[in-house]
This record gives sequence, C-alpha cells and structure tokens, in this order.
Amino acid sequence: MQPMTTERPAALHASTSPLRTAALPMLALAAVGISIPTVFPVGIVNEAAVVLLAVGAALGLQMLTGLAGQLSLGSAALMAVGAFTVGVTNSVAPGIPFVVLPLWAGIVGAAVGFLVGLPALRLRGFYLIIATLALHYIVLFVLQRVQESGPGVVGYIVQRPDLVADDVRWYYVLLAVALAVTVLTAGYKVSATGRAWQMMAHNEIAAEAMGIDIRRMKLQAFVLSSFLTALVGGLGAYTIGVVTYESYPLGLAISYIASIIIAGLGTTSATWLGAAFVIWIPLWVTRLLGAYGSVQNASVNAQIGVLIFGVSIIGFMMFAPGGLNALIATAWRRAISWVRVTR
Amino acid sequence: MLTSFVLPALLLAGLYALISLAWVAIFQATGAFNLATGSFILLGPYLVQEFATQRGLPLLLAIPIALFLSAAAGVLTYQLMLRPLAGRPLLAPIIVTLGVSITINALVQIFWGAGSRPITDPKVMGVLLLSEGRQVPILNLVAIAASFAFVLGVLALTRFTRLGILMRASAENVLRAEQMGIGIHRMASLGWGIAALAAALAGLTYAFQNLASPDLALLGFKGLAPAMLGGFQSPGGALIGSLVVALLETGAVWIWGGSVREVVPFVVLLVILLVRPQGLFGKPTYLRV
Repeated sequence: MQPMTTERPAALHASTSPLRTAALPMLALAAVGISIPTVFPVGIVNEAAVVLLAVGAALGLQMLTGLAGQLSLGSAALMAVGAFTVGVTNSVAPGIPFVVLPLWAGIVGAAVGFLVGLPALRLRGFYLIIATLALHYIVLFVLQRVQESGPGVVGYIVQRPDLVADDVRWYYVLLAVALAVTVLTAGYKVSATGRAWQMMAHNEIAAEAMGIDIRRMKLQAFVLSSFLTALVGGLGAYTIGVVTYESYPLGLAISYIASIIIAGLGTTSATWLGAAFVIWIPLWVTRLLGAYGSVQNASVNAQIGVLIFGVSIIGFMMFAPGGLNALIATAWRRAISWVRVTR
Repeated sequence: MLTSFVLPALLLAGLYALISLAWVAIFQATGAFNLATGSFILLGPYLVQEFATQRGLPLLLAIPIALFLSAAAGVLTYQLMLRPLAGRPLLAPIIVTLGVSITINALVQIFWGAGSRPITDPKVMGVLLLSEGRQVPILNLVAIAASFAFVLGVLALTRFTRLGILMRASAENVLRAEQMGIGIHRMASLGWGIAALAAALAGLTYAFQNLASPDLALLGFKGLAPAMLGGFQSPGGALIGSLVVALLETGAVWIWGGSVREVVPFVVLLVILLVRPQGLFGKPTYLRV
C-alpha cells in the first residue's frame, strides 16, 4: 500500500523529468570514472577506489539524511558490520563465492539497522542521532571482542578473487557499484517512497496529515541506508584486504556527513564531488604541506585537512545550504544566460 | 570499598553532572543539540596547559583565564553560527555544531599535537588518611566538590533568581518570551556560556588527575546518557542521572574490568531509548495530527 500518489505534482517539476536531468551528470561521472585508470598511475587509482567507497557510503547516508531528513552517526559502525561479516564468514566458511558475500554483509547490516531504528522511531527530533551514536560505540565494542577472540591484532585477512585481484580491475568493480547506487538513489528520489521521505523531512506533521506512515517510512529509509552502507563496508574489506575494528572510528561517520553537506543534502551525482572532497582534500593538503610547507609534522598536516572540512561544513550550512550542487547549478544557469545575452 | 568504589563513582558522577549540564543547558536555552560538547571539554585542560604549563602563569590565574575563554567560545559559537540559523530546519544547527566540533578538535591537535600532554600539578596532592591505612587524595575531593558546587550553583541560578526565571521562560516558549520583552538571544548566549563553562570545567577536573589528551572529547558523548536519563529538560534530573550512570559504570567496571568503561553509558543510552525515552523526569511529548 503506497500512501502517496505516484503522479508527479506538476508545479514541482514543470519542464523536464528529474531522471532525465540526472542522466547528464551521471554520464559525465561515468566517463571521468572510466578514464581515470587510463590517465593516472595506479596509486591515484587506488585513492579513487577509496573515493568510490565513500561515494557508496555517502549515498546510503543521502537516502537517510538527505531525503528522509534523519541524521545518523552510524555509518562507520554499519560499514564495520559489513566488513566484519565478510571477514568472519570468509574465515568460517571459505568456500562461499565472492559475489554473495557483500550482499550478505548488506543483509546483516540491514538487520542491525532495523534493530536500532526501531527504538528511535518512537520519538521525533534528534533521537535517531543518539541511537546511532550508541550503536556506533556498542557495535565497535562487540566487534573488538570478536576480533580479539579470532585473529587478534592483525585482523581478518580478506583476499579478492583472482579475476579482480588486479587493482585497476577492482577499481572498475567499485565504479560499477557506485554508479548503480547512484542510479538507485536517483530512482528512489523520484519514486513515491522517495517523495514521501522528502515530505517527511520537510514537515513531519504535514506528511502525517497527508496519510504518510511516518514510522514505516523512517524504518524503510534506515534499513535501506543500512543495507547500502554495510554492503559498501563489505566491499571496503576487499579493497583494504584486512578487517580491523580500528579502521572505523566515529570520525569516519562524520566525514560522510561532511561529504553530503558539501555536496548538498538530497543530491545524487553531486555526492561524488562531496566524497572526493573529503577523501582527497586531507590527502592533498598533507602532501602539499609536506612538500612546500614549513610544517613537516604529518599528523599536524592531516589535521589541517580535517580542519578544512570542519570549516566547510559550517560555511556551506550557513552560506550555501544547497552545497556544491546548488553552486554548480547557479553557475551553469548564469553561464547559459550570459551566452544567450552575448549572442 | 570506599576508596575503590565510592570515590571513583563520586568522581565520575561529578564529571557526568558537569557534562550532562552542558547538554541540557544548551538544549533548554535554544532547543538545539550541541554535538560540539566534547570539543568544549578539550578547551579547559588545553588552555590551562598552555597558560600554566607552557607559559608559566600561576594556576590561580590560568584556570580563570581558561574558563573565561571557554565560556567566550561558547557564546561566540552561538552568536556567530547558531543565531543566524534561526528559522532553519532542526538539522541545520545540529550539523553546524558538528562542524564546530570537527574544527575545534582539529585546531587543538594542530596547536598542541595528537598525543597527550602533562598539565601543571595543582599541588594539592596531599592525602587524607583514613583508618586501616586507606588514603583519599585531596585533589579528588576538590574535584568532586567543585563539580557539584558548580552544578548546584547553576540549579540555584535557574530556580531562584530573576535571571534564571527569564532563562526558563525563554526556554519554555521563545516567541512569548520575546513578546514579553525578554532578550532571548542574551538568554541563549547565557545558556551556551554556562554549557561551555561546565564542559571546560569537566575537562579540567578530569585532566588534573590524568593528562590533557584529544581523547577527552569522547567524554562529551558519554555525558549524553545521564542527560537522557534525567529527561534532557531539567538540570536537576541530569544531576540524578549522573549519579545513576556513574554508579552503573563503576559497578560494571568493578565486575567486568576496565574494558567495559567506554561502552556502559551507551548501553544505558540505548536502554533508555527503548524503555523510557522521556527519561526519569521528563514529560512525554505528544503530537497530534
């Protein structure tokens, strides 16, 4: 039973289909993504692979925070759940084919998300943030015990199958997944469910008055987002090759929040820019300062990168709440009108 | 029992009382949820470390300066970043406080490094000798006394003074308070100032017994549990919540060892959300459509 009509309100999307508007930037992203390994050395390709993982995790968060309006600090914990599911399953039953494992990780993540989302539904406002914060510390505590009772400090070793063992091939796998998640998110955004989420984010009482089942919609958003995040976590285990609980601090979850704010809440293609921003800015700041700056301390340089995205969150939220997406759209419109005027 | 259970539990309760006050004061004053609470905890110890340990100022001068600067940072955060967001969706101020938290944590590590730093010995390291040779460090007693004195002082301020009544009025209903001529932004600033002061003081009492380290910021989130237990609306409730959570945490550490210390408050938090989300003293909010 869908509570909202599937017909698009005419006033909201007057001229073009939102899916068609989303197609052009997505094609551009695909083109850039495909060409990166042909242009850049494998070191950069590996960094781009991390960006693609961040794209997946950030899009999972876009569904929950950007579309449904529920802020979550649980991304890192859910990625850890996905990665540990892959690591543990691999060591318990090594024969399971590769394709199944990330999906299985996603399902386990969705189950965890369901359990945590349930209590948070009872109240409005910021209770989901608190629940996900508790989730983060409890999940990591449990996973630390799991790791200590299993492989210990070295962590679970996860190896990619021979077919995609090569870094560039693996990059293309992640690129395909990131594009698929982008299409999925864009599709959800214009679906009846996605519209219900956005209305709920905008005004819960009005949404409820329109017949939207708030609790069901919140739970749906949280479970779907948890599934995607844990799936990306599972793929991350294959990317890094080793699973330890220390790879998933709260700061990781915060960096994904930063990426969706910088990209613009509820955006799909622009989220790639946000993810690239939070992964590459600290890396490049560290590199540039290491090469040219007077400060030679690596940990200080990394913190300067972190400082930049802390300030960006504040800046975007205060002065450009639409994020890079809105800034680019405005620039594009201005460029077009300038071309028309001068012609 | 006294030195190994009651004293640590009281120390922890004092710490939680300050931190949960920091959450509740801001929530009460502005309805906002300050994710930067942990970062304000860092300011106290690091500023004292800078002025006293690095520059050689006497502690009696360095501590007031550090506390004043921390409170000023709280007020500035509100005036510069939160106040302009009035009227924006609930998510916006929360995300801005997250940005503030990242910024302060990064600045602390840029200026003072990622490792822990020693802080000047307050030189009240005497011990109180009890029967059977048990010892209680006087510093611990001072920390407990300072924490509870501050929290009770704020309680008295909100309950018995004209200023406190104005604060509660603007927390209750911003629009009506403004119509009555109450300077709501001054009240909100006051709430932020008190919160930042409480957090800085919490960090200070903790760091004097340990070290100044960036990990202190984690204490901010741990202090959510007592605030939630107390209902998030009353500083008095948060005080009782602090005693309960501190007893639970100390008890759990007593039974299962120090490794559970970091997780106990979050388990408490999840249980509260499941069983009684309005806390012990909060009123359940009903919303009808």
